[in-house]
This record gives sequence, structure tokens and C-alpha cells, in this order.
Amino acid sequence: MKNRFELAKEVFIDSIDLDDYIELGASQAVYRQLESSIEKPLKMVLVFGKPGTGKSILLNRIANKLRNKKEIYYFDTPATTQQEFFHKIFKILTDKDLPNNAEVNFSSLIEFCKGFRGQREIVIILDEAQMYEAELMEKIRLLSDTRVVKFIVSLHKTENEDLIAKEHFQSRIWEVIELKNATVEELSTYIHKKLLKKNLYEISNYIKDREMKLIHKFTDGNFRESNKLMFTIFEICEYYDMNEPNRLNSSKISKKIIEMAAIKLGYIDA
Amino acid sequence: MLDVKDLEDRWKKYNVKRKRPFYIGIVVVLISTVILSVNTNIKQFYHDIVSKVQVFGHQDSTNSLFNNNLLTSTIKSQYLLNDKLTILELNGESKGNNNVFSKNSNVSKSLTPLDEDELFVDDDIQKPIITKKTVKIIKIANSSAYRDVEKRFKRSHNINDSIFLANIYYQKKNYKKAIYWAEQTNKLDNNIEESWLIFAKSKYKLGHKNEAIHVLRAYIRRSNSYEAKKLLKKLTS
Repeated sequence: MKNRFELAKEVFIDSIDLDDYIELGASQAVYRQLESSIEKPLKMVLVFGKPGTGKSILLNRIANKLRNKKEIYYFDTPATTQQEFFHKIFKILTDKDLPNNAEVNFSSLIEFCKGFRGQREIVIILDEAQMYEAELMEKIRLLSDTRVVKFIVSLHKTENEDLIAKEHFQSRIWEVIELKNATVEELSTYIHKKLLKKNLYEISNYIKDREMKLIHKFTDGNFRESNKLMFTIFEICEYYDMNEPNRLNSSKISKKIIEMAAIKLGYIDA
Repeated sequence: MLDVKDLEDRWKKYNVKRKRPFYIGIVVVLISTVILSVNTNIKQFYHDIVSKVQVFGHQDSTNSLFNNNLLTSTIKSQYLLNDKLTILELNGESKGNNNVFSKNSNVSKSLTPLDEDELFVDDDIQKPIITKKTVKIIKIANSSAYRDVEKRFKRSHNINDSIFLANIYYQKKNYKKAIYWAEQTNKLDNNIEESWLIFAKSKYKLGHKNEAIHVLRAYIRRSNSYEAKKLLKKLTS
């Protein structure tokens, strides 16, 4: 039988698995906003936020939810070449595979797309779009101009990438949705819900408000960072539970363990 | 596998580094206290000299008192001071307080024989001003997470959920909800001791002492529970 802390640790393995999705007030609002943007006659929608704010899981979730209602495709990893990208688009439009060495004529593709106007409305979600080169982004824009393909573009928000995003999309993006880090309360709900979902009541009660504030202080409410920190905290707890159980506080996670995990992950310079 | 021992060592170093300013602060406060205390004693000593001289009928100015040879022996015998202090007191050549305070180290050693009741108490220095601060602790209730469990209970009727909620609401002092969830647990299985105890404790907390006792007695009759007896004893004492 697995140690209780081992089970808790596994809850925080970072994934974009829909089963691990935790609904929060803020994420619900962003989800509704994105859903309504998809319904509007917009050509491109930009979803951006710092890494770890939940963009990928949001996109994955919306793609999954609308799968039966709309013609929606989720490109979770960026195509490495233009050829690969257009092969994917060709497959979507024609439902046929091209031979690997064949090249798509872009002008013909645009004309082919225009032929579907009024008949098909395709939504393509591009995750990690900061990795697409400028020329390809320009072609994506031209594709969206056909009004047959709508693009949901997801970008990381770092200072440089933000600038690139603005330069590329300022005049082309019709709607911008920003994802932010969680507040202390949201992070608390997120962590508790994650644990309760796996029936880890005792462990859920083990993290008090004060400790939650400390966790938030280290991770700034970033979900990915919080997952990493929680994983390491429970890894330390698991070690103590198995080797030196008397060093574990029976009612709450000690500040020392949280700080040890923060040292391990480099949040504290020790 | 995580090297917890190495992490512990790094944490210890970090903890020492973090607390260093605090320790420095304490040392500074201690040194300041010692300096203030010495200064206070010197002031007191000075005042005593003045008052003693006045008792002896010398109404001259302070400056002239320091030059009076007759005074030397009087003060010396009165305070059992050592030679160093005598020199300090009387060879000041009428330069006022600054001269007296300038030889702190000698003075502080000489002051120890003074009686406690002769000490001059400077209120400003001896009594630290204590300002009471009220810290408002805002408890963030993570009710959303609990609502999920409530919703889940409505579907699953899982005793673990209901007893968890009874417990959590009791801890959060929401006794009415604790009672509700203890009842839900009891409806599913009336042999769960924890639900009886939470029910009784919550009733008691809401001021329904008799009801709490009645429930506990009923439960003891059927279960002979030690915990229930202990709680009953506590409630009735």
C-alpha cells in the first residue's frame, strides 16, 4: 500500500490531463470568455499569460468540450517546419494525407479554403505559438482572412515574447485573453480541491492557511510552480514519514519542510 | 530520491543567515540598554551628590561644590566609593555634567555599592513603553472545496465525505453545519462514534447543554463508549 504522502505527491505531477483539471472562479471566467470569442466572427484570438498559468489545459479543455459541436483542432506542439504545418492543414481541409516529400502550394491552399466559405467554419488552436516563425505567422493570418479557418493562438508572456506578440498581432488579433497567476485564495482552493478529488482529506487538512500563504509567496500563485513545490513538499514528508516519523508535525505541514522544498527548487538562495 | 539530509543542512545554514539580523538587533538592544543603564546611574549619582550637599547646608552653586575639599570625605564615607570615583567627582574643575559623564567606565564600577532605595528612577528610561498591537487574522475559508465534497456526497452518500464535513465545520466553529453533517452520517450509519461526539459537542457549543448530555447518555447506553463517557464527564463537570 502506498504511503499517504506518496499519493499526495502524485496528485501534483504536472500534466494537462483533463481529469486533473480544477475549476476555479477565475478559470471559469476565462473559459467562458474564450468560448464566447470562438462563437464570434473573429479571425484570430490571442490567449497569453506567463508559463504555468494554465493556458494549455484551458485550450485542451475547450477543444475537448467543443469537439462534438464544432470542427475544432488542437495543435499542442508547434510544427517544426512550414511544410509540416501545411500538411496538417491540408489533412484538416481534405481529410487526406499528402506524401512526405510533397509541398503545399500556399496560393492554391488559400483559394481552396475560400471555396469552403459559408460551408465550413474550422477552429484551429495553436499552443506555444511563440515558436512559429514570423513568415509562417503571416501565412496563418492570410489563412484566417479566408474566414474559413479561425485561429486561437496561445503565447507565453515573457517580456521579450510579449513584445514579439505585440509586433506580430497588434493589428491582426481581434480579441486578447490574458491568464494570470492565482491569488492566495484561488491557490488554496486549487490545492485543496486537487487533494480532495483523490479523497486525501487528512492531507488536505494538513495544509493550513498560514502555510498556504507561504507556498503562494514562493510560487507567486503560478500553478506549475505550485505543483512542483507541493510535489517536493510531499516528497520530503514521505521521507520523514518512512524514516523519521517523529519529525513530522501531526497537525500541519511545518514551515521548515516548505522552506526545505523551496531551497530544493531554488526559490530560496541558501 | 531526494537527499533530505543535504536539504536539512542547507536549511540550517539558511536559517542561521536569516536570523543573523535578529541576533544583531538583540545585541544592539542589549548594548544600548547597558549604556542607558550606566548613564542613568551616573545621573542618579550626580543628583545624590547635589542633594547630600544641600543637606549639609551648602547652598552654593554646583560648580563650587565640586571644589570643596570638606565634601570629599563626607561623600566618600557616605557612599563607600573607591579612589577613582573620588578623583572623578572632585577633580572635575567645575566643568559641569559632561566631565562627570566622561569617565563612564570608572563610575559604573564604583556605583555598585549603592543601596537600591537610593537609586534615582528615571521613568522614561527604566519603564519601556509597551504599545499593544492588535493583529487581525483573516481566516480564508476554502468553502468552494468543501462545497465540492457536499455536492459529491449528494451523489455518492459516502460516509467519509459526511464525517469529513462534520469534522471540518466543527473545526471552523460552524456548529449548525457540523450538526447537520453529523446527522447525515448518523442517518447512513448510526454506529459511527465520531458523528455522535461531534453532534454532542456542537450542541454544547450552541448552548444546548441538556440536549448534548441527553444524546451522549443515549449513545453510552447502547455503546458503552469510553470516549463518550469522557466527554459526558467533561460536559457535566
